[in-house]
Amino acid sequence: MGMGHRGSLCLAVGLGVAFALGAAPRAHGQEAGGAPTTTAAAAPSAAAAALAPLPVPATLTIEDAPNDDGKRFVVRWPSVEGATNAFEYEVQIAPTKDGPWHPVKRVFADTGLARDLDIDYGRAAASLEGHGVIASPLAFYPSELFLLAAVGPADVARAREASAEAGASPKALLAAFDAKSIVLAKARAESKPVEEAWARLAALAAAADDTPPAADGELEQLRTTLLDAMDGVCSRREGLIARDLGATAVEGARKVFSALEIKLTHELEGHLRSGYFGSDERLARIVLDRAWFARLRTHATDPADTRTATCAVIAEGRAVENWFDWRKDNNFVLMLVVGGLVLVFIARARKNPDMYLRRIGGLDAVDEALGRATEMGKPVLFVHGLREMKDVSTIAAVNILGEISKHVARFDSRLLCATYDPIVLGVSQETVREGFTAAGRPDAYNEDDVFLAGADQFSYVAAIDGIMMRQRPAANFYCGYFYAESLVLAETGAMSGAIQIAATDSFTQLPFFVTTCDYTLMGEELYAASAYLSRDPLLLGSLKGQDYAKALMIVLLVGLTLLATLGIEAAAEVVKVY
Amino acid sequence: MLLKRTIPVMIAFITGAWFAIQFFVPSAMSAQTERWASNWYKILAGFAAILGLYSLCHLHWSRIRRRVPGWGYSVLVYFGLALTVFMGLIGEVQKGAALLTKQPDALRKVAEIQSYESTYLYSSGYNWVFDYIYTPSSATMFSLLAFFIASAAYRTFRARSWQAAVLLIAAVIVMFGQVPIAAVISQWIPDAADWLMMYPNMAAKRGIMLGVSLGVVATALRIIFGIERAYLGGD
Repeated sequence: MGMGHRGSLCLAVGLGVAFALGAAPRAHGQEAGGAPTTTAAAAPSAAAAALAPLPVPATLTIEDAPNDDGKRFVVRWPSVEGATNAFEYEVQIAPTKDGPWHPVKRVFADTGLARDLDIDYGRAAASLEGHGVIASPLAFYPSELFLLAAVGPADVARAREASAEAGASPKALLAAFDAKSIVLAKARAESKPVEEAWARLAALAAAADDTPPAADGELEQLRTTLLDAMDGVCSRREGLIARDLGATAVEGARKVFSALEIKLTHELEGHLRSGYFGSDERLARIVLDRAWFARLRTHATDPADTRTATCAVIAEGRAVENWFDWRKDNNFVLMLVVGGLVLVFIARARKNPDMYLRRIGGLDAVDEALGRATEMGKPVLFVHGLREMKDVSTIAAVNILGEISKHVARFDSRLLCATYDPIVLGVSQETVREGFTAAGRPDAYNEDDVFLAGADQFSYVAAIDGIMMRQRPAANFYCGYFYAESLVLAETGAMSGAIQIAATDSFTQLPFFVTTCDYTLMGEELYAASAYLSRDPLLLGSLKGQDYAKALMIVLLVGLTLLATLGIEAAAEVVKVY
Repeated sequence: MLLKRTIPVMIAFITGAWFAIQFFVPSAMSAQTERWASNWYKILAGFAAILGLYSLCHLHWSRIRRRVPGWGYSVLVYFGLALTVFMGLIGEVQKGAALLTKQPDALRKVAEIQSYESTYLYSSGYNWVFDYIYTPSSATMFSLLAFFIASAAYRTFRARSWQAAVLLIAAVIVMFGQVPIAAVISQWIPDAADWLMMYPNMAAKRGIMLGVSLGVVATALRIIFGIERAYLGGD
């Protein structure tokens, strides 16, 4: 975590009322001598004199926002005694100490507390004191702005003048534009004629023997094309200034650009060559990898009261990329504990393969269902859920399919597998083929038996219901994550007289499967199924570890719930998710 | 063995381990790798769509060729596919023709409108297929759910055991608690319905979710460490 530069202390508040007595309608504050400054409207002298000066905090700091990708920082200041919502703080940031200053946020003096930044700080927010506001320079200096700030109308005018003096020399003409190659490169990337014009000019300037000489008027035409391109970029810039950003932001960007010209040019050239613009991460780092400044102003809440006071301290700091999200520390510890338990039991299973495992009725019935299909001479239907291959429930379903395909091949039966997603189709085809091969029956595998039934929810249902009613499979397996189609599928399957086994982690659909299927594997049983079916000691060891992890979780939850009920709030924080 | 086992298991280990860690790393580089992986998946999905189309066409062509019972439906699949592709292409051709024949300013406007309006302007046939064939068919399938719920509820709510009786009573309270007349009869009914949903139902739901989460972790670990290889077709 990067810590912001701590500025010097503010001096005491005090000059505000005196300034308020000035003759001008609104007197400007001073910052000389590091004293907080206060301004006020030309209120009646007596009333203004009676007003107390606005309070400003003694210190102001910028510190890196924790647990983020380095795009934000936190401006913090201590609470002022007696703070009420009668006045509010305004936080401003700038790329240099001299501005331009951009308002980030206004908060009432009794709000905007740092401890409320729990979304950013996690549990650590509770121990924070004072006020805090999150700020990101990217809000005011989007990286595209730097591209646009790189050239202005004055630059175009200079290029126009220089190119006019180039006369008939392609080299001189190229040199006139070369300084603005950034803009030209950008224009090249957006326009084929400009790209061709640039290439032609470069070829003429190189004066290779095989380059045909420029025709009459060609150089002038090239010049016009390139200048028009520069004008186009400038128009976009002006449009952006008018629409979104304002001239101040562009000027600020130009200041940053000037300070880092070499780096920017180098970076921009690279980006322009690779064709990336806008919110590219590396361009964003140009905005962020530098010191930023913050200042704080106090305003009266009452619109009629125009007093302001400025904290004399200008804070300096920067945003830094973080490499660990401390808000997820509880998750990390849990992952290590659960993972460790699973791995320990896998290791134990290597030494002692005879492990006791509770029986799962639905999985014990798999052989019964497959045997029934074999006896009846009817196929077995395996139906995937609607989720994609990247979901663990689909991976678990494919694992079950692998085991079932081996059993089906051994029983010399037929397996139909309906898929919803093309990637799941490809993986399922390969899994079933390997399953048949492992069972010694590669010849029995038919690629058409693993098919894409539909890529839309109810088209999928229609196709599978049709198969159920026409081919009357003897056993139906529903594995994976299902939505509203679950009952339509399972009820049709029940009507067709098939023995049905469902395995899903979709708890909203569980009641429908429980109602209509002969056996239902609920929740984690879906993930345990392939291990249970394969009887591989290592896989069974992982199930054992999973069960112990669950026992641990139950103990932990019950214990923490009791502690939280007894009023120990920290107990609830332990398992809080951010 | 190297191509079919070792390399896939290594890929699963490296990517699985990295993305398990990536969840805890907030840096920009970490987020970038996630975006890359997501883009790779989209690219793969694009190519896999061709595989899916091939599978669909091959399956139904085999059925037509072998004249299996119900092969007429397979003809309908081809007809529907051809019709949708034709209508979609017609719209695109219309849009292309407009781009070629209209003035540059008009073209820019077409490009700016993009999306909804221009889609409707130049693909009315495709939209007709979508609005008047696909959507009603889909809605018909969905509406079957109402009848299936009724038949499933009848079968489940027959109070043949004490568990089924408890289920029946709870279901009646929850269902009745959702309609306004229940509150008119007694405020106790919607309150009881809310209590059932908030406590016993929520407790069971969270229990299942807890088990699912641990199952996901265990499955992920089995895959990352190459213990679970069923997705590669077993040992």
